[in-house]
Amino acid sequence: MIRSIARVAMCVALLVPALSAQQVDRSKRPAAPPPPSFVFPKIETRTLPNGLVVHIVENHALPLVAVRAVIQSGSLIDPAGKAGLFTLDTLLVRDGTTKMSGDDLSSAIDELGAPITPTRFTTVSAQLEPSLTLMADMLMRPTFPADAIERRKAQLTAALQRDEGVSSVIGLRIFNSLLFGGEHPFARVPTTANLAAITRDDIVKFHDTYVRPQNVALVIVGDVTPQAALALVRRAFGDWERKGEVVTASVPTPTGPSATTIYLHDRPKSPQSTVFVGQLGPARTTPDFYALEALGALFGGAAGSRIPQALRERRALTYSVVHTPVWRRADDPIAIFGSSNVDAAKTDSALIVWLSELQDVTGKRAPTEAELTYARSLTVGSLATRIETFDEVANRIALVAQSRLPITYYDDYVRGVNAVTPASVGAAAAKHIDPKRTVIVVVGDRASLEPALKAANIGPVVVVDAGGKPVP
Amino acid sequence: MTPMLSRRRVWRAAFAAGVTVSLAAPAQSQAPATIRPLTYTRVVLPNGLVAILNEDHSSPIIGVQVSYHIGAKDEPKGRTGFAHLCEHLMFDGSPNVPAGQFMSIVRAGGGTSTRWAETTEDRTIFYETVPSNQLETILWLESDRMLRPFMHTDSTRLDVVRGIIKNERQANREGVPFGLANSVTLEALYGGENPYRDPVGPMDDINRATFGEIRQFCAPYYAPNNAVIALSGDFDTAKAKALVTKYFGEIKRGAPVKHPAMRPTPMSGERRLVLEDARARVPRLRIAWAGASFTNPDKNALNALASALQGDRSAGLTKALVYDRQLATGVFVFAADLENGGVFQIEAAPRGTTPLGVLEDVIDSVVRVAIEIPPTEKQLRHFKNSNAINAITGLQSRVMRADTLTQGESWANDPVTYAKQVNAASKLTPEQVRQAARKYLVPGRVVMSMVPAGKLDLISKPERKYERPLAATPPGGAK
Repeated sequence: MIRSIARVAMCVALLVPALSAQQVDRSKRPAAPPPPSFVFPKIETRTLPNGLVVHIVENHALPLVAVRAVIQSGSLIDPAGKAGLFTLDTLLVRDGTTKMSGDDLSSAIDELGAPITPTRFTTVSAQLEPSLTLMADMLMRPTFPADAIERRKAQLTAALQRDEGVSSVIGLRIFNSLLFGGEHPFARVPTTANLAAITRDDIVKFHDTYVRPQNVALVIVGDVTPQAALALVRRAFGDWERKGEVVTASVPTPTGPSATTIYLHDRPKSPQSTVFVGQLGPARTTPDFYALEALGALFGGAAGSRIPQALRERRALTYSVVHTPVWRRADDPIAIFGSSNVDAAKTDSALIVWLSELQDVTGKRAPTEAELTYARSLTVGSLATRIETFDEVANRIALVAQSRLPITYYDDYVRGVNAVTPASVGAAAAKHIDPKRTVIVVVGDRASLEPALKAANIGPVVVVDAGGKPVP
Repeated sequence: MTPMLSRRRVWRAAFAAGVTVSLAAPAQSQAPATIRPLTYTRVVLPNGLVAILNEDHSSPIIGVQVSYHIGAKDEPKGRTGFAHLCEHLMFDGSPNVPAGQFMSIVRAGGGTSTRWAETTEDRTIFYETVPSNQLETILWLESDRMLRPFMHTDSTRLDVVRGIIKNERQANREGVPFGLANSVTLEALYGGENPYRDPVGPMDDINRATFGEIRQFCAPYYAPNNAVIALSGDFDTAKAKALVTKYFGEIKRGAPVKHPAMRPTPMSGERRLVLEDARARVPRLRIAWAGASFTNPDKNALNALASALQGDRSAGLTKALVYDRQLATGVFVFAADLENGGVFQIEAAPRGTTPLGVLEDVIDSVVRVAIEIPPTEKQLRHFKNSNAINAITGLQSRVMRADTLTQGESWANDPVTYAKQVNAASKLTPEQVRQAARKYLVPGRVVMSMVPAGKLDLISKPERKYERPLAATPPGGAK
């Protein structure tokens, strides 16, 4: 099937005649036609008798298909003391099934030419069926060989050790443990010790109880009709037995900090400080959801928003910074926070500027109509350019499914954000942003930072370990 | 605004670059895996600007890229970092666009970009994805800054940009474990006058230079005859051609640009280096050779070799190191191509207390086999399948298509070079892969022990001769 490149490629080399000397008027931005309206692709949803939900988007623009498997609710169902179990499970199912040894499975995936994992693949549509069959085999029939368990634990342990060298990973862990509480599922992270404590029985039981069709949603986007996709899904997943539990994984409501505090974690001689600044926010079921989306965009969504302007463009204190609500599942509490790597010697200045911007947005410099227009273009106006590829469409639908949101989420989103006003955004800022109850985490050089941060008079400075616990 | 040999770039260079529309090898098939190239119209303006137009109405958006042929390799001694600095300065306003407004105008129109611009060893690219109603606006913006680059910058603003770049280097290089490894590898392989080097290198030269010197160096490269623009997406080709002509046609042609002749420093023997890093907790071993360039016909064979050497559970280094002997937690092999050279690299992370010297021995023995014995038909078929499929999945986004088209035009005078290369790869034979192993995996190579600071006892084969001073990220970071 080698086609003639010359015949297929319409290459036309043209010499364009020189323009007349008349100059283009560049003094004004060209008038743009009305924007194309964004409509999220139509989603067909079906549920198999065993409880497996399938979301399908048909699009034949490319001979590709993107598939995701969403398992409720990810690492949130790790039992206490066994953090990492879910991750270990999704790795181990690649190491052998009752139909194929680990070697055969690996070889079959290589043969298909696209990486196929238990939770995702993107491939040419001609290979949807064999790829889906392998995905189903991994999810439905894993054997968890003992030697594979040790190997995967070693890999995860190595990854944990690598993470310990990354300030942003350590900083986020500390931030989450201080905001949500050290034992909260959002703050739970695997450790070498608790990985070692996980037994093969734990894994087998976990998979048998939770990784079951009633807790799984499949997303299929691309060059396949819904009927054909459903037939393939039935063939591959129809025999999966509904069993075990329906995952709810609801999480406790944290109380949050009572007063603004700086938590300093020592990383000697760091040229930059890694900084997290934020506070608890409401669940996304809040009536203020759309106002907070607009607020996040105009405050810390992108270049041109308040925090990037203040810290990067005006003062060169950082290379990049964001500060927005970070939503989780529909009913979950969230953090509204920002992070950045800032020039170590100016960490105190960066925090002073940052907190004064937080203070200002709650009243003194309430959001303006112009800022809101900009926020709408960042959030709603850019949906078409941000949800472009089959992969991106599939990822978005997977996120909606994982977050337990209505599948009409994006249609509602456009309407919702367009309906907010400067007054409603200002009110949301005043209600949900409290500079006096902010958690600030700084990972950096204690020797130089501790005196400077104390002198900045932002709040008490508490030196903490990598788990967020105070140290002398 | 990031540099190269970043993971994304490696991925792009090593695997992607591919595109569109059709086909691919069915499982188990022996048929060659081939793809159909993107369709396009090529326009050359009298001032030398080349425009590549790839019309596709499947979504109401357009990917845009302007690629200038200036990279870190164009910087002579004393001018290092200038190309990357000028990339930043291109956002500082133009005759009709106030400083700092470029991104805001794009965003206000619903446009986005993941990084907006990147400076690599060989070129500097600027890119955006915009709703299709913004076509004229984006051409106005891009042409305005090509018309008179750097006109609003002054020494105050230059200081701000220096500060931003210093923070960029610290965030992406000095602040992450072994963040300087690629930089050290590249300079070790390609040192010399005008060497290939990290585009986001040490700050010394850009801190010393005046704005006049910087502008004088960069301006000749920011000319239409040294640029390629590609559009991919929802437009009418005839109308787009007229708009590109309208906005870019009156920009004056610059003097012809010369790029330095690049020769890899002949490496007669092995160079053994140590990279210490205060942020790292676990060591790694890296072995790197000079590889094939973008247009070098050996590129496909080296990519196939990387695929076979990396292997899976049943073959190659993954089998040997991770599964059979369980000496490593992972091994990563790739071939990256630059315009005038390339890097072939093997990196492994030890499992537990496995000495790096043991990893080196196993890698060497597998490499020796690859030089003597061709890969199996099956290994090669896996490579061909993934190569073709990646060329399609990797070109879903319009900006990636635009990037691929400008790269082919800029480096090979052929926008769809990528597709010809993928289709040529479908005819590779196992013996060709073995020949490439013999030609490239030579004694002249870099062996780098990457260890946590102070853990010099962990280096591979300490009895052999190591270069001094040792490369290092000192705890204090910036040199």
